[in-house]
Amino acid sequence: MPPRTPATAYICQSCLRTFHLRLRLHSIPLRRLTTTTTTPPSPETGTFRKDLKTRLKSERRSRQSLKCRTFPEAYVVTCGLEIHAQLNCARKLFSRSSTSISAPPNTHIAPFDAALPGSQPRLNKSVLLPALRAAIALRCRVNEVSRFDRKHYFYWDQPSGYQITQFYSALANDGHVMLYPHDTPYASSGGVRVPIRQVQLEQDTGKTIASANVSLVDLNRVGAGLVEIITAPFDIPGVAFASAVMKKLQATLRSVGACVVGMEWGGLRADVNVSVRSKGVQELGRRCEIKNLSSLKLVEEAITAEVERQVRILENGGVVEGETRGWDVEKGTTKRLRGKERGVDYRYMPDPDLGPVVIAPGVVESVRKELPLLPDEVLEQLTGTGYHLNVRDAQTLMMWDEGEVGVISYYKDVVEKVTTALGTAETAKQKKGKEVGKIVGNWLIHGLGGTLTTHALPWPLNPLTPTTLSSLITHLLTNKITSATAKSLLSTTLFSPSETRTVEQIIEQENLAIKALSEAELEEIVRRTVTSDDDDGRSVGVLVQLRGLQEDGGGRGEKRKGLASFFVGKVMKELARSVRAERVEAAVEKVLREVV
Amino acid sequence: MALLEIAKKSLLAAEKYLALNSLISVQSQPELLSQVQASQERISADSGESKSSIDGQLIAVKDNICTTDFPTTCASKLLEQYVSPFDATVVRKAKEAGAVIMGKTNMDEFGMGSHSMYSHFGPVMQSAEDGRPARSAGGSSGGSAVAVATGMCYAALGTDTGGSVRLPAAYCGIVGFKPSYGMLSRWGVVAYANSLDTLYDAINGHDDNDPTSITPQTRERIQDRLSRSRRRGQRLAIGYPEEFNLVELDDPVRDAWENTLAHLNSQSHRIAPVSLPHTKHALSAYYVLAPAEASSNLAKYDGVRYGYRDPADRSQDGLLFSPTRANFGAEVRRRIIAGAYSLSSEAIDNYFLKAQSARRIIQRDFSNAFAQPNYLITDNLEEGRGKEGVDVLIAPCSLSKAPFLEDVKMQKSALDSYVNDVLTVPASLAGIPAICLPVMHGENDPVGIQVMAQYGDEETMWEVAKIIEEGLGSGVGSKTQPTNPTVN
Repeated sequence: MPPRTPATAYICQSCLRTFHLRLRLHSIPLRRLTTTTTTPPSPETGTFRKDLKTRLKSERRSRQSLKCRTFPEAYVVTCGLEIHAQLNCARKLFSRSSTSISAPPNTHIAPFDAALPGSQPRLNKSVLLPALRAAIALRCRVNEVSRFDRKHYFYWDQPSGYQITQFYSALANDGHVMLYPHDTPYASSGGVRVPIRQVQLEQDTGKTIASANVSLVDLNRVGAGLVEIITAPFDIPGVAFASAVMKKLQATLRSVGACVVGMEWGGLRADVNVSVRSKGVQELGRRCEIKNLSSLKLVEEAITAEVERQVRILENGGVVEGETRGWDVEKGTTKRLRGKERGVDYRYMPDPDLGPVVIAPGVVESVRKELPLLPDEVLEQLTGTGYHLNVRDAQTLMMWDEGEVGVISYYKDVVEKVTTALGTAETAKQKKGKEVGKIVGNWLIHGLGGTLTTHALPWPLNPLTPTTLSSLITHLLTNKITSATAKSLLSTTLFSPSETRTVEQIIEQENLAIKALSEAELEEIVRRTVTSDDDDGRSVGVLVQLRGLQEDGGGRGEKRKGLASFFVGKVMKELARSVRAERVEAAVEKVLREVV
Repeated sequence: MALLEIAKKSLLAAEKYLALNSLISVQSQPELLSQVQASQERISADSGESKSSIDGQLIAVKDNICTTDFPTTCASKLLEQYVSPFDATVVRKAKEAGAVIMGKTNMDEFGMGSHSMYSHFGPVMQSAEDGRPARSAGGSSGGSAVAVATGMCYAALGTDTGGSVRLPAAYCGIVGFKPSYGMLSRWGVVAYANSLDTLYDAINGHDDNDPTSITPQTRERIQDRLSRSRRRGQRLAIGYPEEFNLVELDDPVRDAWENTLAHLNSQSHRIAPVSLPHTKHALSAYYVLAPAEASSNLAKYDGVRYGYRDPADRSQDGLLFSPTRANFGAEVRRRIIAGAYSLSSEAIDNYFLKAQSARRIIQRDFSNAFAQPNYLITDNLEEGRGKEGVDVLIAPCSLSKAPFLEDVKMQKSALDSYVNDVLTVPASLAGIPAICLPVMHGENDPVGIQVMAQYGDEETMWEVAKIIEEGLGSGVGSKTQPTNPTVN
């Protein structure tokens, strides 16, 4: 008998074990939407606010710079996108090995993934749910019967020599996605409709890690489920419109839990078709396809360069050839990969092992019913009569909530709790002209968000329950505590890991409730503070400075205000912030007028 | 005879017929005997219960069926040293039933061939009598057939894509059985043409790993429907397909066919001619579909993850993996190229899609002939032919008896040997069960006659096979009882 080949070396031992055990779990439960097990560490860790700001800023900047990069007047640019997005599923499309983006190379491979002789595919039905969500969110018609086909080509990251995809009959067709002014400045308030031609299921390939002399292949990703979303060709007024479409698709897929991993982690890749024609011409120009763009920036750069190239050809009286091109990162240009006329013949063949996917009547409806809100719907809800947020704050919350970390549901929970509490409290008195939704938004974004940043905590480690925050806000709105007390409680006491008391208990035990002091009592305290000499003469020093200002005739300037606030702070501290700052300010002003 | 005695005799035969080249790997004698010993002890222990009718029996396995104990080469240079990390489901089930896997049998590379000549390990030969030249063992499961015919094992597992079990059985004078498509798991069977491969043994059953394996519910439904309308204990209607009576049939084959029908008639069964008008398209449809699927299935052999890899990975014109893939044998390369062509965008409408519709028409021909409908496709009894239809079809398995290998090698075109499959391919395309039996005819060598039945109706097929074997059996295949179906 010849010696054994090390065939087993390519197989993940644990996958193999599960495989041999024939896995008793008949139906592997879907991962919950909030699962973060395979999501990489959240990029907004700790510094969400700053991060959001930088992102917003860079977006604004790129929008501005792109405005300068509008296309030549005489031409219309048409674009078609083919987007590949990793489906949110714990296991691969046709094998039982788990999906992972961070595991050590070649540790999640079933026999079928490595195309071992004698292995067969087996559709993992749980992949269908995120795929259906994607199709429904993109307003597609889901086909009752769809089938799998093989697309043949040789490459080392494609072990079976073909990719299983849906060529002859896809999962879903004929949908669209809408872009509004909050998505892109190119959209009018009625929105722009980008047609989706097809949504299909297919296998992912492996990853190649190139090094000096060898190419290393990681098969962990092989066979993971993808949706490919193919748009119909659409005109683009500027290159940023194409990336806005991509962004909108990504946000839509994410919001319904169809996909969890964004472009920054290789979870989304795009092929872009670009064609250029003279204004007034109906017929589309000859298109070129640019393959495998893995970031929004690359998509924008590649389209810009390709439009320039095609326009140059047309200006010189030439003809654009239909071809497949790649993006050369170093040169910043597209380069020819192959012409269409001698293109690869993929020899599409119906997969003889796999039966059709039959979606039973009623399934689409029930998935649709369970579908979470789409980004536009969330925005509409947050800015609507229920919450009254402005678009900026709503978008801040939505961006913060990316990946469904739970910020928005937390926000809604707090609003509801505060509203309920105010409704029952007898002393309920809303702040003039401000709705609860707006106030909670402020406290969440600026108060809690800021404090999380100071403590370098990511959202999931937020120590405040919705009950705590709503109780704090309710106490403030019912005039039980001052805004200064609330701020100080939020930023210190409530963030202390050892704190177990309720907001109510803390206020009571630390004597933080607003004190019913009369004007005279308050003035008496202020007078005592201003004239005290228990602080190494600092109060005296401030008084001296104030008198000096008075003599110079600058009695009402900024400097005086600053000096006066020294006493305001001191009194507030003395009173444990239990009197509203405005009252203390007024009292200090009055006393200072007397003593200075 | 005690199991151990039988095993020792088989090992002697394996030694004696070594030169026929029927085995690629063999288990060591001490290991084999100790496994048989274990079965023997289990059976003679207090309970005296054997695990199954194949407990302690030596079984040979075609080398395209995955085993962890031996390499699984598919008789190809590309998998010369490949050892699978898992057992095929059929192998696992055979082992669980107590069978002892004695070795792996030689075959045409990846199952492509009709004479077991196209093997990286050299051709299989059938026992040469009296110094006369060697005859073809048939293909592609020639090694399995020879191993059974020479007494090296109790039974052997083969694969039958277009006749690869039945043709060698016919040439070697033994029993070869292809079950209904989807009854046996194909998990671990190296695919050549997925939609056609089948194999069988006592341990059929559903396998979750094989997406084409028929589910228990469907099996139950089919058996329930069939048993309701089966002609039990009555005169059976035996059909003979007129289109199988080809000019090319040798006289002894035609005589044996007639003899078989006469014998069944003498047992008071009704004999009727049946027309399967589209049979003439079967061979061409098969030789479009099978190479197309083969070209796809064999795309994975690039030498990157396992198997033979050529030191140069790309050809001078830059084609990836092409030097490695040049190591396929001539017949495999021929079929890959033919298959790739019929799938190409310029040809697919004309070849692959047309062949697929021809296949459906051929399936319909068969369904129109049988009394019972194909319950896999329909649940409506009315769709069968009813009383007008037949219960089984009887036809020869091969045009002639086994040709001399020398003559086969002299053939001008590789296509000449494709013709050999003309009688076996129709049942393959229809997915129905078929068994090839050696039928004696006077003093001549036995001739392979096949019994075909409606999808899932193995029971009636066995019933008729038993009648034929009792009346006209050669005695060679008698160790394979129809009630204990084994392959080859």
